[in-house]
Amino acid sequence: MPLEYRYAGPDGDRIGNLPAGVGAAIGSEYCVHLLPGPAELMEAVAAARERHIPLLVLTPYFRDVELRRAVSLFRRIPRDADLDVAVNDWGALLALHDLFPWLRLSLGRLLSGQKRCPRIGISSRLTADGRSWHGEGIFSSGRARSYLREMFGVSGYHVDSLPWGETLAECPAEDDGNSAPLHFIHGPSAIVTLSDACPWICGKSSASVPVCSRPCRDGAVVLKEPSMGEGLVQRGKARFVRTRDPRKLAPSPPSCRMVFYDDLP
Amino acid sequence: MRILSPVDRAAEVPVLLSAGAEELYAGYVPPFWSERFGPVVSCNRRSYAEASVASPEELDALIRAAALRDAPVYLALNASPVPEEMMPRMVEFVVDLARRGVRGVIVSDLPLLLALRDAKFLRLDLHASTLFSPFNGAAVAFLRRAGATRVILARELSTAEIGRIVAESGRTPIEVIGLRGRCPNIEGFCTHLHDDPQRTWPCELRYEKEWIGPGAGVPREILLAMERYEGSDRHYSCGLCAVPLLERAGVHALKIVGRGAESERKTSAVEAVRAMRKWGREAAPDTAECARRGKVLFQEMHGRPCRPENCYFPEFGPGEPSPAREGPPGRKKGRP
Repeated sequence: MPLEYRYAGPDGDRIGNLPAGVGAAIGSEYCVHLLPGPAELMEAVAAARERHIPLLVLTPYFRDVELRRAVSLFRRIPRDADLDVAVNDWGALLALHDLFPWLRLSLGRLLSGQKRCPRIGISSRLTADGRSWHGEGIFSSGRARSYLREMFGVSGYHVDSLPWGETLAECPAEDDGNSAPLHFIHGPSAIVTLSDACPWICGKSSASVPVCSRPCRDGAVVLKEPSMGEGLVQRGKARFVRTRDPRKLAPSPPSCRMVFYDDLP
Repeated sequence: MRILSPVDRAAEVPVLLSAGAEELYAGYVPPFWSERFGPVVSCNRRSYAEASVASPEELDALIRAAALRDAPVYLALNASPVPEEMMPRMVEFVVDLARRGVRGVIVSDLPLLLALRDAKFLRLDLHASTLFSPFNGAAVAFLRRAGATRVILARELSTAEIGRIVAESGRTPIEVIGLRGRCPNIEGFCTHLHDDPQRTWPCELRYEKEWIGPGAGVPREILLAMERYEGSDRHYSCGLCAVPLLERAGVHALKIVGRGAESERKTSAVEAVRAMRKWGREAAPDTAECARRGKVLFQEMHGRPCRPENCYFPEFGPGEPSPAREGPPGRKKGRP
């Protein structure tokens, strides 16, 4: 049975509510203001250690000043913490690997290359190969996997289980003797698109506010338009589409992890 | 700072170069790609025929026309992923492009960038696309390590942020996108399907909205911010105010968006950037002066004031508020 993580809020305040044996995912893939602060991160690390569960820290893209703050944050993590970091910024990948080579780094969903627009499933203008192409990504490339592993220690890839593209649970082991990378399969929501300007702060760039009170945690907007199929959900800067519950996928090999979110309608 | 213009046909080359363009970029879809993936999945992120050079012969003519004025031509190959089994053919295709005289390719696929780096071209630049979402100096370093010889920054950065990245980038030329075609979403992270033959893209559609949260409906500020881009026209996207400051900061090239646009639109865009750059060189203006001058040029170009949803660099101050939206959710009118 693959290991399951559940999203425990940006700061990990729901770690105490997790069932036994379920890992905790905290932080955010899309907004720097949804990262835990230093104290919150240390509390989350301690709570996870006390419950003997792994911790997954999701991180977004960073401007220079934000990346410096993130580096300070990660500097506090004890080396022996059972912790993975999902990286969604190439510069952050370089910085975190160079500064903290012991950190377990995995490539986040925003860098995976997968396409999640619901129109992909219903467009009559796509051929079968064209549709399938939208589910492929950087994890499909042996060259990229080798490079990222050797140069940056990347040991896993965060992906969505999409109706188009390869069956992620069947990824083969590497043929150069290295073990297969971990696949963190997320669901039941996937990020379709992301803006730098946040409607919850009147359409300003997230970089224009030094601190954010996180108003996006209080509500979401369901968006409907006939050509978009089932519709989208916007929360903060990100628009999401509903995907499959990763826990209900066919039995998958030990190299898969499930990451489940229950904070979107 | 060089002016980089889109080009789609050989006949456009002399006009664009006379207008002030110093570098050109185009798209071309090789048959082995379109036969495999069909018309919508383009290898250069444009699903309509007008945005790609029509044939190898036209590409040759375009390159020759540019070479007469020593203007480099770069080719967009900025789709990702490039399937692993297709990589040898793609590298072979780039070899052929280099032989024809293309001076660089614009890529967004890490495996393709690595493959082209390892092919050790003597005279071909590898441009890392804005689709890598380089928001910081460390991302520029990552891309340089992977083989990039030029990096195109994310569109959402301010002039100050760009200036700091340029200062840290050493000898890696930095390119900035600054006129036309500003997407409301971060392009490198957007996975919407752009397949509409009418070219109304998903971010421009008008959506019905339902609030899930406390209170009676979508809070007004959130609604206004979300509706700002619905029905908007990216033709009006503008960063003219920033041109003098970007040049002063050491940006290598300013890119104008617009593959597939009418020739007149491309030419007017080049002329506007050249005019702003010329004024900046003569006047050595401060930020406020740039803002005033940029807005005047916008008004001259478009016959109306600029608006916030069209602005590449909001630090230069808001344009006029947008007029109230009319009509039901759905497609916008008037798209050619």
